[in-house]
Amino acid sequence: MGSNGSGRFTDYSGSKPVEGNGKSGGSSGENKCEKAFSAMLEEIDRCPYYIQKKDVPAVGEGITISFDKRPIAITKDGLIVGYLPTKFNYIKICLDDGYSFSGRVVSSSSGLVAAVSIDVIPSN
Amino acid sequence: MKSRVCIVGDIVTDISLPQDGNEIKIRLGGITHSARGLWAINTVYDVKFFAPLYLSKSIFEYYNHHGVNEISQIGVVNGAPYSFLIGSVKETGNQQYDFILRDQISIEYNTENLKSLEGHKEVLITSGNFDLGLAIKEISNDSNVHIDLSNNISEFTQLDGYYYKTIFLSTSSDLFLDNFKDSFDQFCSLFEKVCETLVLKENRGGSRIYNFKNKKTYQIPSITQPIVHSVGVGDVYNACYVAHYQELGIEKAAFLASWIACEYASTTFPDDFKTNVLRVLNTKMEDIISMGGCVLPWEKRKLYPIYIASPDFDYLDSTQIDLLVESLEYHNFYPRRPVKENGQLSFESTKMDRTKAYTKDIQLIKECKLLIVVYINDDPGTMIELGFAKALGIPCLVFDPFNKAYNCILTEIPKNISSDLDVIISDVFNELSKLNEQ
Repeated sequence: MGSNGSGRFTDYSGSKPVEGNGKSGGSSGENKCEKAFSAMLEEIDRCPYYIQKKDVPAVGEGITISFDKRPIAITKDGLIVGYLPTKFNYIKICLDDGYSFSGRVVSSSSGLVAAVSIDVIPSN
Repeated sequence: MKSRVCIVGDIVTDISLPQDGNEIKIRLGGITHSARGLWAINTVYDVKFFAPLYLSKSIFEYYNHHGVNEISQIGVVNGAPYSFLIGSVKETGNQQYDFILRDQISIEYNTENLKSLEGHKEVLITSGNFDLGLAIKEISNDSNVHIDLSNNISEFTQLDGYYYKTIFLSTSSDLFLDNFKDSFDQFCSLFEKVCETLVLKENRGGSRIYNFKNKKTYQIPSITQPIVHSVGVGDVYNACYVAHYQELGIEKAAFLASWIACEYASTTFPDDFKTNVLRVLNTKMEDIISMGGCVLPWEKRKLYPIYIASPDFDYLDSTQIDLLVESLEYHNFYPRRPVKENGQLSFESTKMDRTKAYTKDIQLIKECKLLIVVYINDDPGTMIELGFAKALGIPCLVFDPFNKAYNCILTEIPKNISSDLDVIISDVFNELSKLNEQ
């Protein structure tokens, strides 16, 4: 029986991936600021959109991602719909790096608790 | 010329075993994690290390490629390959480390090179298999010495005779687990004679810092998001803190360290890490602070019981339920298993038995602050419990290990649904930290 080996240390900055080994090299080729994401917004009933309109935005309504102490989703007329969950805090560093994010409301309800979900894509 | 910052400790090989569909990954570990952090934040550093001779050439090559100013081997490790097998890179639960042949390790010290420990302003030691006293003896009196006690330090007597600028330790360390008695103040008092600042890293629940000089406690949030790995993340935190605390002060340095540690956990590729770190460094500190994050101190986690809704019956395979429960307990959460606690019914159970079990289960849901479904099959009790908890306003998550959930009620009721245990654990931290804020 032969044996396999795991080659050499490959995680050098600037190094190219070794053929056939997708986990090697200096870079994955992925950029997290260029990834689309879906999110359930938070604190909707405390945000200006809900307070002013007593309702949540309709499915299909366009939103953009901005920042007000935390990453937020706002409508075209500038009303804050809700905050992005903490795990999307990295969006702020992407915004500061020149990326912008826009998307649509994919589900919303003002029933038991106000809830809005959005799909978002980046652009640079 | 010597660098302002010097890191001291073991250099090992980290072998992340194939898991979650990923191939094996081999990287230099030990203080190399701290080194990667310093390289990413563009801080020039020196390194004094202990390692086996067979690794020395690779270590010199690697460090010279990643920003080191001066590097020297202060001890040669014999008797073991100095390799860590890592069974669970994400620390959803215990990381299942195996330090191969650890009991055979012996170290030959290089007395000449040990003398080069003097002359640095900031020295960061990561405790290990070496004689700490021997290293400390060579460090200048005017150096600020910071130490991480996560390895090989299990008794306070091992710290006698020296006053450290900063002590770092994590909630997974022996010193913490053996001595923490549900009071941060009481735990801090144990360190009063040995350090100026104590940094307790609480995994995804943030970090707490106490400074004995100004008698101030700092609560630093973690940036809790699904991760790629957790190996060496605390070491990156230490290095970034040590590099910045003089310039930024304790609080800002720790906020920055927390963000940079989060970036380290999100990739194993150095260039991806550095790109993301530069983005963090280009973001205003006030924005980093305003965003906050996850704060959930160790002792508070048990205050928020978690209802495990699942077919947890003795005639079904409970591997996935056990996995979730073990992971929650590892992080000091309080999972409640209704079937185990209130009893399992059978066809022979009387009406009275059924009413009793039902009442207890419903009462238990009401006591819990979070409900997690483990979706193994279409067990009606599990589904009803999910709906009942939702109606009560209790946040719900669905752990779907086999990716089988498609019913819209099941997928849309919870705050999140995932087959990835790491995603569920992150969400537990984030959801319960919101209750902790109230």
